Amino acid sequence: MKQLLDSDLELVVESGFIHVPLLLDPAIDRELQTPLRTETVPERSGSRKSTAVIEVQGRHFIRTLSVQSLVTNFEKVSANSYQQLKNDCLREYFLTPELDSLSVDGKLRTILFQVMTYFIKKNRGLHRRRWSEEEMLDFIGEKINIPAEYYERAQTFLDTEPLRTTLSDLGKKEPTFESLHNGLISAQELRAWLRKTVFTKIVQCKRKSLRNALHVREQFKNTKKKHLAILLYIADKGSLEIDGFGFSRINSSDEYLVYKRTGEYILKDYHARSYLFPDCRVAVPTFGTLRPIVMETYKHPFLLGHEAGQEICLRQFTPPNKFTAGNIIGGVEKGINALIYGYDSRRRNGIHGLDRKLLHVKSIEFDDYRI
Amino acid sequence: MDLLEHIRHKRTRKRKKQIFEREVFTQISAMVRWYGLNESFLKKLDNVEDFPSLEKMDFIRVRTKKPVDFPLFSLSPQDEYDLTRAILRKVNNSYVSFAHSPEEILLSGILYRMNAELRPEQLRRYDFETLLMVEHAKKVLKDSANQAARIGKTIDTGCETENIEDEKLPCGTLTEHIKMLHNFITKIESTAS
Repeated sequence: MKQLLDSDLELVVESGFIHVPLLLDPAIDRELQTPLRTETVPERSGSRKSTAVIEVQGRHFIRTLSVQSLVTNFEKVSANSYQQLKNDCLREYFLTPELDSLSVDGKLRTILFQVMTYFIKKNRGLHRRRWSEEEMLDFIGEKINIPAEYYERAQTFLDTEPLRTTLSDLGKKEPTFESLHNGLISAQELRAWLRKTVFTKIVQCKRKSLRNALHVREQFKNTKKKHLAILLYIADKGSLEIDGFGFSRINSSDEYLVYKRTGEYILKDYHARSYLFPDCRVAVPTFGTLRPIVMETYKHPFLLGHEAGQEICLRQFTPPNKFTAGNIIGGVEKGINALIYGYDSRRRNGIHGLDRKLLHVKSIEFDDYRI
Repeated sequence: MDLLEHIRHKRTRKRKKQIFEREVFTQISAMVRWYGLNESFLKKLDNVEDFPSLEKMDFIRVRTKKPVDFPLFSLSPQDEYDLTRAILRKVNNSYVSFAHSPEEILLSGILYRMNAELRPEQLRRYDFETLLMVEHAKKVLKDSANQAARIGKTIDTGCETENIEDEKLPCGTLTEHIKMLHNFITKIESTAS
């Protein structure tokens, strides 16, 4: 596509598609003589029935990309150019990229206030109720030390006035979208149009994200500054571990691995000999199939090999695909139960047996865990 | 052959791999693109007889063909396509499919007119300029033999016995020239067979 836009070709836009000059060989030339396949399109015509090959001013052009799809997928097709346009947009409208990456909403909230409250239970007298959001944040605040800068950021976060001003300015200066006319167009003209359109799209997306940010900030209007500072800290760090429960952000996306530590545990083999298994983290991802895995390099009768990130072999368990607090809790519990209580020494179930040695099949050995 | 055998034979024949041969269009259009040929090349084709005179060519020079990796298929823009078709219309001979350069396209017509029965091996191996020299050398050899016969002398190129010294002609030079031509022709024709 870059080659096409950088070329000095003359193109045709017709029926929402870019048509490039048709390359010929004798077979194609013969085919072109068949009048059914081609259609003459007058210059700057209105809407006409679309065909694969069109004739404009005696030259043949063939349909290629859809203009709409080119605009929609510009970010994926030409990542560098898109990033450059985005930077230009930020510079022109005095926007800061940080606003996009600030995510204290969505999956993180679910993990903090629904999953974490399930696994971290603190008996307070006879009351065994689940903690409220404020109680949870207070508890986290006691466990971790929040740097002072996050309190300042919380103050800035709660002040929505600058964001409102930026949004208002953006609304006044927002460029208008121009549609592409049908007919002959040079590659340079198309490139200029595409640049302008993508730029407009970026500004529109930016405006939308600013509106969302404003909405999120307004939700936190009644939140205490201390609590907001804790939330901002967690959102910035992307990971947290308290009392054996934790989560860790995957790359820079809004996806996490939610885990719980098993602690050390003992399994017995057929001859009632004990094997001490080390602590490990059983995790469930918040995307794709919510299947429990062991994060560490680990070996166990229910794991295929001896490496990190292995899925736990579970019978009669269909992992869900939808991210909900219940599904995450269920996945983590199933995984931990399988590791600690799933192995039956009499039946030697699982992929490997603790005491069984196969002569001809390479298997995982657990002799080093025996106590 | 009964029906069953006939069907089997037919299917076996169909399954057999066919040698892929490039079309002349593919080769010419590739050369048009590589060498940036334009309309002026068509004018050269019209005046192909003006090509450097063969008499001035160095007969000793033997040029083999430049190895060229032509594409399997060729798709051309309209202007290149029109030019390729125009070249093919002008150069209407079977040797052009063996041409590897614009010069060879130009020479293909002359070569075809001089000798339309060259073997494909020769055409594939040697540059058309060399093959033209061979044809020219044959012609010169024939003229020289006629010249020698006219002055009543016998030239035996196989052995060294000659008695044309008495004629006060540059016969030594002529003999050497004939020998050289003979060797040249033999070399080209024997290596290509």
